[in-house]
Amino acid sequence: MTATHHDHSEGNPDQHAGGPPVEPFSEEAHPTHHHDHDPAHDNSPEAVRKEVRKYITVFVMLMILTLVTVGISYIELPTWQAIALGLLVATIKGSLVAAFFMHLLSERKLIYAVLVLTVFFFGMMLWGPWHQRSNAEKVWPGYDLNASQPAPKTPTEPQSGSGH
Amino acid sequence: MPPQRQVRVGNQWMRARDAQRALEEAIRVSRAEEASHGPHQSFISKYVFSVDHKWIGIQYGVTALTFLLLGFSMMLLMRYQLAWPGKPFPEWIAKFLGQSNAPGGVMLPEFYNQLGAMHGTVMVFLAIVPLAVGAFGNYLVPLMIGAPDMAFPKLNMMSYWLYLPGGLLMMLSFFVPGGAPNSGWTSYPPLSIIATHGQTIWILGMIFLITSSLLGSVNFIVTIFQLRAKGLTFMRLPFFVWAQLVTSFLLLLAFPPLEAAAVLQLMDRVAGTSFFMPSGLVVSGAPLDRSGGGSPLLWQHLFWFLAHPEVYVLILPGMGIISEIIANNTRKPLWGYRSLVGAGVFLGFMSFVVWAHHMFLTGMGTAISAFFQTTTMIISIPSVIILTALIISLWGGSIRFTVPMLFALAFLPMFGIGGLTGLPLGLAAADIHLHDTYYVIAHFHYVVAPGTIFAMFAGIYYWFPKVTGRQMSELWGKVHFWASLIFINGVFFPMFLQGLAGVSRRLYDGGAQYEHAKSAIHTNVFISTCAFLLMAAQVPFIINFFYSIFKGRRVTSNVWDATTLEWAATTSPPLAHGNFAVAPVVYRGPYEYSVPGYTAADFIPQHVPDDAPPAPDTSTRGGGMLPAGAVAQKES
Amino acid sequence: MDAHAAHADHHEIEIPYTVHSRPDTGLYNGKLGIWLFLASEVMLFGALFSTLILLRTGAPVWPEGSKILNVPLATLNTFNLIASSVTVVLAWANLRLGNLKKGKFYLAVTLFCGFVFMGIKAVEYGSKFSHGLLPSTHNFYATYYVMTGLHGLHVVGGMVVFAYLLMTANKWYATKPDQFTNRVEVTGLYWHFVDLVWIFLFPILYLL
Repeated sequence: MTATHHDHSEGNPDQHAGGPPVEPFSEEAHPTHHHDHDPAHDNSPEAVRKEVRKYITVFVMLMILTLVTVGISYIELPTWQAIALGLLVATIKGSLVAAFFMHLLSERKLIYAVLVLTVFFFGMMLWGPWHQRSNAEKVWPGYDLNASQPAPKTPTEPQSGSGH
Repeated sequence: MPPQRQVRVGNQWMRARDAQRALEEAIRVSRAEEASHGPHQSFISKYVFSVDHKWIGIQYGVTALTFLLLGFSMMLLMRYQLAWPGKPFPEWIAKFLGQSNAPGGVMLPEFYNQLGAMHGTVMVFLAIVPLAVGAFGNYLVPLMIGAPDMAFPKLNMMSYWLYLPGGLLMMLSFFVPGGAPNSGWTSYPPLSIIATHGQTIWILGMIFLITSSLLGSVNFIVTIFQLRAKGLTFMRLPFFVWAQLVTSFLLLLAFPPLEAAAVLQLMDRVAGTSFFMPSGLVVSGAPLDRSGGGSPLLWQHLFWFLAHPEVYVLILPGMGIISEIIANNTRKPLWGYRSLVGAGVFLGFMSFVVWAHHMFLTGMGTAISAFFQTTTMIISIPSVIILTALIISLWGGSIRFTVPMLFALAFLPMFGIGGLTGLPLGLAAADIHLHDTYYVIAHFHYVVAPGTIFAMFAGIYYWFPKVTGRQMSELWGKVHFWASLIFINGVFFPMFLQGLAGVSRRLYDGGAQYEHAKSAIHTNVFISTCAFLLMAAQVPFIINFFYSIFKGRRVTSNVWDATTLEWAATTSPPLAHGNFAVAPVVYRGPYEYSVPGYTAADFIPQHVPDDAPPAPDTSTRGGGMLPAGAVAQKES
Repeated sequence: MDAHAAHADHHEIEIPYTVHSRPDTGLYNGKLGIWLFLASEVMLFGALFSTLILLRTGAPVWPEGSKILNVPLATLNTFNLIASSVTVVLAWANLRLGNLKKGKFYLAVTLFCGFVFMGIKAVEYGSKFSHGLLPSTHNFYATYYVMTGLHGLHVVGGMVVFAYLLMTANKWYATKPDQFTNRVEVTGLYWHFVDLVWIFLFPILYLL
């Protein structure tokens, strides 16, 4: 029957499905392990032990920074400076987690690219609503209904039957 | 072809009817042989919870097309009310709608609002995106890159099985007390917070759908990066795959803010929080007992942060489909492939920084409005580049007016109109007049309806032979095309004029109570009539579609003489068997049509090596529509 | 990967680069997948941070977190979560060395830390509820509950996966050690992200 008698030498594009796929970049042709000087992928005991030492060091640093975070919250600072300092310490801690625990330092360009893109959009998403709200009173006097309302009961005391 | 005509099969002449029967028999035998191999897969694991991207694509396709029909039907109910406000529906429709929605057969304004919100939600989230990405993307992307399946087949199955319950949940909302969600597909607070129960169901449904979409987008991106065949570099990818890649990034990064916002709205509705509820709100004469301090604009920011990239999700796959069809039916490479890719990526990036052009009238202030107006103007550039490249691609082409090509050709001016009419909306000053009018409705429907949906139709006619091994009827395809083209323009073009006159959106009576609308609303009768005729025009398509699955003309695997990898697999590649006997290796770009110096055929598929002997001359009458490697005909 | 083997396992198609990295991207599928998912999570929590910023800058009155919330307990939780990040990466290191027993031990410790975290959160929430301090009381509470609540749900999600890995470890590691180790790495990445979010949530909600 015609359907099965195709001569491949004619360059006929017909192929039949079934059978195992072959990895286009197979291990034999392109071995991954030898080219990689990436410590995260080197499984020798010596390399892994070195890594473990790094993890413990980072752990200790993170604990110290946590204490620092709580400590600086007791210092009396103007709002903006307090926020900036708190976020700075948090960013350092986060960077340590990302760089060493998540191996971002030795990670591929593709991952970096995705993260840089994400951070940019994250920034846009934080900027937009904040910019609009912080400008609102200037742009449209009387815009902020809260300002004209009596302040709600401060929630430091227990509330009863509030809200819903 | 006529059954009596003689065709050559192998080395003998026989009647076409006999050849058809012999082919059917051969296929039946080979399928039976296959089925006898190895352990039998249960029906549930093969067809219900399938992990094969092809079957999942078909599941998505059938489900999405059903929702498309449902969404269209909702609109028809609305159009009846708009054309003849207060007129009772015919008996059978009135009985179906029930007394709570249409007492005495007359639609209630509340029900009109429900239909409006559901039409938008169903069309955007349940019909178009699942069709464009879930159906076309799932079925074709692995095939086009020469992969055996998606990177995460089980995740793929989960994506579908989150989509279907989410969709059914949304539709179920019509039956709860208070009915379906009725605060618009945009669900603006404070209205959506105090609205009826249906809105909570909308939120829950959205959470299902967003999760489904997130899993899918991870799958697509990993598949495209990791599973490309050898030799398939990024700049050799069909533009359709690029479009799906950008679309998946949009879905990945833009949907989570809406998921967060949906959770916040759910909290406002059921836990009494005030994320979106300002202080001092008075409802029906009584002050609302809430802590207040919230911001309705916060919802708008978070919603539109998704919903703007979402509209590019709606159009990009369609552009991808049209590109494939144009290259194939002009028998020449696309003009400006690099520009197309660059424009597509730039478009995806820019789509994240234009969202507040939906909020020009919220009193944001001139600085922020100027920023978003600027980015909106900039984003029109890549759209124009893409459209221009596609139009120039036609120049010098040997155009075959197949049904897919007709839809593709129509897409170009229709998307042109849709895109250009977006410009006044992007200019904050003009938007003051046009915001929330029928002009907006006309603009976005032009892009999505004669734009994306025509691209979907084009794709269905084009890839139907690949999926089913049969071809849809060309004649009825052309009837479907011309009728749809004429009536869809009849529906949406007058809406521009209505909008310019100032007729507002979402009005139950079509604007009858406004003085400024009086000049324009008489066109509602014309529009509604065209809408009903448009629905009638879909009937030949639906019949053609189902009939051709069982009785359509059988065709070979590369019926359109196309170059991309999906045509190298057999027709209707069997499930759970991988897609290719041997993983294809790619030697050239995706659109090697009419290659100078190559006389054997007017195309070279991507996977054919350079040193292969030239294929036999399969073109008759200058590259016509006959299938490759097929049959010579005796002129009787 | 011969034809018979593939044919016998009828339903499982072999997907390339599930275990080994693809040379040009340098990644295996699961790793790229989890980073993409984490990118989407950044946007998810980002939207909540955006909400907090907008509501806080617009509020005439916003209480100080340290006066209302339990800072010592949260500090303890911070140490706890950071420790669990270390244990999960130690688990992965041990699995790479072929040491299944130690690997399982560290996974179990990680899971335990997760329980501790949720326990402390339950104490915090419980004490607030008993004083009638609900999300509806004020947006301060609303944002606190939603942000820590969503974070808590993510912790539970991670715990479920760790439990599953622990339960299937023996069988899985025996037949496909590389794949199992990769799964632990990928889950670990998710867990580090959960830790990262808390590192920002803690000062922003409790201290500032």
